[in-house]
Amino acid sequence: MKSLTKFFSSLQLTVILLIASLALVFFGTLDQAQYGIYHTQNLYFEHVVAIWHYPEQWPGHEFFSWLQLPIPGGYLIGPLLVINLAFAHVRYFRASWKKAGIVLIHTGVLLLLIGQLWTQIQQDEYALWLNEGQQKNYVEHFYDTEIVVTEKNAPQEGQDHVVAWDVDPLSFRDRPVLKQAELPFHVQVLDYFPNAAIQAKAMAPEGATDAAAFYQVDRGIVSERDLVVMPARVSYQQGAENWATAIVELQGPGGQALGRWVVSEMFRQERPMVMWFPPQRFEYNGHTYEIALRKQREYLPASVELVDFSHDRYPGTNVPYNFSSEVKLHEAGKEHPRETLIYMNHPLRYHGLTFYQASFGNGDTASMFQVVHNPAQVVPYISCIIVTIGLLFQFCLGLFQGVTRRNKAQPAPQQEA
Amino acid sequence: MKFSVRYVFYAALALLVGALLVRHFKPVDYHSDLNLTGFGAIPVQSSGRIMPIDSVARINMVLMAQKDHYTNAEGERREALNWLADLWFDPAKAAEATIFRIDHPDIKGILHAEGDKKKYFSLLDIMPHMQTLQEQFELIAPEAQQRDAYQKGLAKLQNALHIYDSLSGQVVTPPLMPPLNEDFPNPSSIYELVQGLGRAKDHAPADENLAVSVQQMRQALQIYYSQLANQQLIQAFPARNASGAPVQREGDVPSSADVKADSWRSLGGVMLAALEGERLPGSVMQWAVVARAYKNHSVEQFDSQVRIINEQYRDKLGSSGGKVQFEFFLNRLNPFLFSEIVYLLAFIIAALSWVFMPKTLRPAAYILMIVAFLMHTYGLGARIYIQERPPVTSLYSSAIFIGWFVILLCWFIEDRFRYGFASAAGSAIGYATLIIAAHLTKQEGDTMGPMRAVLDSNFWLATHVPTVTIGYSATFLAGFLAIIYLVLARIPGRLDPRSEKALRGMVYGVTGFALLFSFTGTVLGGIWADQSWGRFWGWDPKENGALMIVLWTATMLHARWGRLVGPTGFMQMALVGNIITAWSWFGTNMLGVGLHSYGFMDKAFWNLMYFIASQIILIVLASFIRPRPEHPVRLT
Repeated sequence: MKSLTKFFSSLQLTVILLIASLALVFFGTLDQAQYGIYHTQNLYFEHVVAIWHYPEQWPGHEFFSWLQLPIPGGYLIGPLLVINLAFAHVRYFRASWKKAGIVLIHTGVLLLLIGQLWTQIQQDEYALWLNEGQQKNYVEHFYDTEIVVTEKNAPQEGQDHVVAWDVDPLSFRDRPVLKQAELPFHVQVLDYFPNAAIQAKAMAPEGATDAAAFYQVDRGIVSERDLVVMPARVSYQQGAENWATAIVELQGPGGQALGRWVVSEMFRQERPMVMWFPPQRFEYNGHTYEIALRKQREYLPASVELVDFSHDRYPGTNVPYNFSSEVKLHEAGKEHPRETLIYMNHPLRYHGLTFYQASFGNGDTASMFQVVHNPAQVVPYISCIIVTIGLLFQFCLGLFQGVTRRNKAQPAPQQEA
Repeated sequence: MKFSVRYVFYAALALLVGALLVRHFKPVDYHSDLNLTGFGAIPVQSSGRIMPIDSVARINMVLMAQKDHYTNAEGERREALNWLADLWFDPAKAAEATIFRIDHPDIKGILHAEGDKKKYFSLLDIMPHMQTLQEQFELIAPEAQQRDAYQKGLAKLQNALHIYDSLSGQVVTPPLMPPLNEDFPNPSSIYELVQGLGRAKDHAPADENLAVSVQQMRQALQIYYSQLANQQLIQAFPARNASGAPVQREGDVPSSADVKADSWRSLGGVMLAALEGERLPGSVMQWAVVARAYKNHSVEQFDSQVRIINEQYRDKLGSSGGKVQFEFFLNRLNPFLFSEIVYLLAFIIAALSWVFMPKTLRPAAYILMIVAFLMHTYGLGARIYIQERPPVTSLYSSAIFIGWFVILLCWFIEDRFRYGFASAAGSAIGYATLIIAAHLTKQEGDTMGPMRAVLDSNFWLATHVPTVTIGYSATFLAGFLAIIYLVLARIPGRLDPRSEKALRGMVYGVTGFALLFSFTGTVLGGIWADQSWGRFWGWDPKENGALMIVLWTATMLHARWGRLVGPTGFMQMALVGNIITAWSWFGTNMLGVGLHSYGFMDKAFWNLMYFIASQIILIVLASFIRPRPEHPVRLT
């Protein structure tokens, strides 16, 4: 037990862990060239162990393709560092002014590590695309998708009854039947592709795999427009989009087949630019329904309206000096909307969410906001202050000691050759 | 005897530096009777700011030729400004200037110059092969990282030709139909025609045929000047006068130096407005006079007209006009080149001081370093004054600042420990960073360009950026001091126990300093990211690079506290610090364009690899070659 305490509180462990985190950060950065930031983050920093492969694009890949390195991941190093720090403090702690800086630094670092973990667990990021004049009361997840069935018989626009199931790529392999008591039918997932290319049969390359034909899809856009669905590899390139696609069969209460549809993110209705696909509607028992696969939505207590987006460039150049969005926030029960301007380095904070100007499109008439929910937001601020005070204290102490020591010593002799 | 040798040496050094100073302060010789100095000082708006014409010439020539001067047919040096004056007022002559740098043998092949040793070509050399070149340009891969060396060379040439084209005819309208109108327009020709068409906009001639001709002429001019307005690289004319009304007065010039006020317009824009009935600003005519005077070589007319134009700007732009004049002076002074040379001198002398005459050489190296540093500081301050920005705004300025701060630290250290270590390490880094900066100019073009919206925050530019950059400075300094330690410890009698201890202390202290600044800077960066993107940490390559420096300096200090490494090991770790900092500074940027296939062809990438390899070799050698036994201190 004592040796265990000694091990966990040792400086050797600290050094090993620091070097391991260095390796983690280095290889995690290298792989971003291949996998992009988001995927690398999952592979390296939010994982226990990562495996680094010699990249295909590097010279000499034919000789080094066997080269693989296991890299300790963030979820291994982080907790060990926390344990190491805690043990070392218990073991070595002595109340002394000279050590005050060290204690502060380590407390701050501990707080930073814990805060980062808290952030990774709790933080949510969403996107909000708005055209000028458009209003929305929800934001969308960046990556997670959902399958939704909407009953279109509501008396008023926007009050339709919506049933949504989160897409879970793992459990979707087992071809689950999605049920919901309020719906008179079930949805069985026949297949799911994290990415697929959908195009006209005439344009498709010869001999391409057509998942729609394989599953004999007989309803919806794909069958009406004679499209092919070709499963594709997920791309991690910056800016590349992956179209999550599912093939579903609707079944009546007794399990009888009502037809097969392809639902895909490619038929999205939300973002600007792509508007070629109408919603997929059908009638059942005298009611109209819509079925779709889309980014998961999170509803807001207010709706956001984009009044105007501006994009100013320095004259004679393409260098922008301003992106800004004039926005109205319509809150329920309030007569007058709240007006505000969102621009670079000046986000809108509302209801625990922060809206940042992130992108734009449609010839400068559409604006995209990144919406972040992060309850641990203040932690880094506090720990930064603590560590900086500690570092400054310790550095000044060392400098002061060094100078006094030197003043006591004799002046340096100089030799002449 | 020794006494006199010392003073002779100091006097020689002082003369050398003095001569260098004179060379830098001396006005540029343009080899012309015309007042080209006055011409170069005229302010125009280009790449989003107001700058002297001289800067326009230099920036664009560096992008085309990779240097700011060229050699004429007689083998004499000519300045960028000579070429720009030719381009505007004597285009046929400008076409003979060899300002297109072409390195790739296959591109030379297109110009039928395969075996040729020459690297610089003129527009006249290129023109006959334009057809073939255009076909090749079509084949350039749209994404930079997919281009090989040949395509990169092509893209560079295409860009250079584009710059050439965009700069042409931006102050006087070029002859519209060369066979009919070979000379520049005199004020009574094209301008009057355009002005006349503008005035008569609403009065069609009674004669139907004439009306049709007038309409056709108007349309032709509109198309021509729209093209000119689209390819604008500079804006030299006023959009509106101070009261916001269209320009009325003779010789009117733009009313504001604030580029966001949109008060400058290109020649194409001015001509288009004139076709719509707006009155041509008087300065258009003045430039026409300048052009004719240049072409006809009438010195008096050229000088007086240039003076008049300059005076108008002085009246209108006030202090901003003074800034333009100052930038013109700074271009000529080239303070960083001066510092670069003096740092090199200081380094050589400091290195020699360990071989002989330390008492003579060490103070000389120290003083030289400070002289170079003062000029370095002047250049840095001048950039801050012109740009109205904190010192670091781009990769180029980070190189300038890293070097500068290292010398500041070294001054402080050398002032306390007169061993010459800090002078040597400082001047070596000063020299290296200024060389790097000079190379970066060739890619960045204008190094004082405007800031993109997300970076447009002087608060963060003044806090996060310098703090992180100071962290880079400190890790490099620790690394270079460590090199000195490792080398000297292996030469008998060169590192006595006292200086060994002092040097160890320096590396340790500087590493602590590096941790303090890297950590604070990185966290400040996180806070900025939180403020503008909503997340404290995004695992972005540049963030990770900064984090790696923090982790490594922390590792070094903990390894030392835990006595896991001896002095040699600690120094070797400081060399690893060099590698990590170089990676963080440049490697992460290369990752941005992707470490894909042809990214490896980049010269900068190989330079980084050479640097890393040199550090690894030093680390390995230090492990194999033991410190000399005479050395009284246990080193491993």
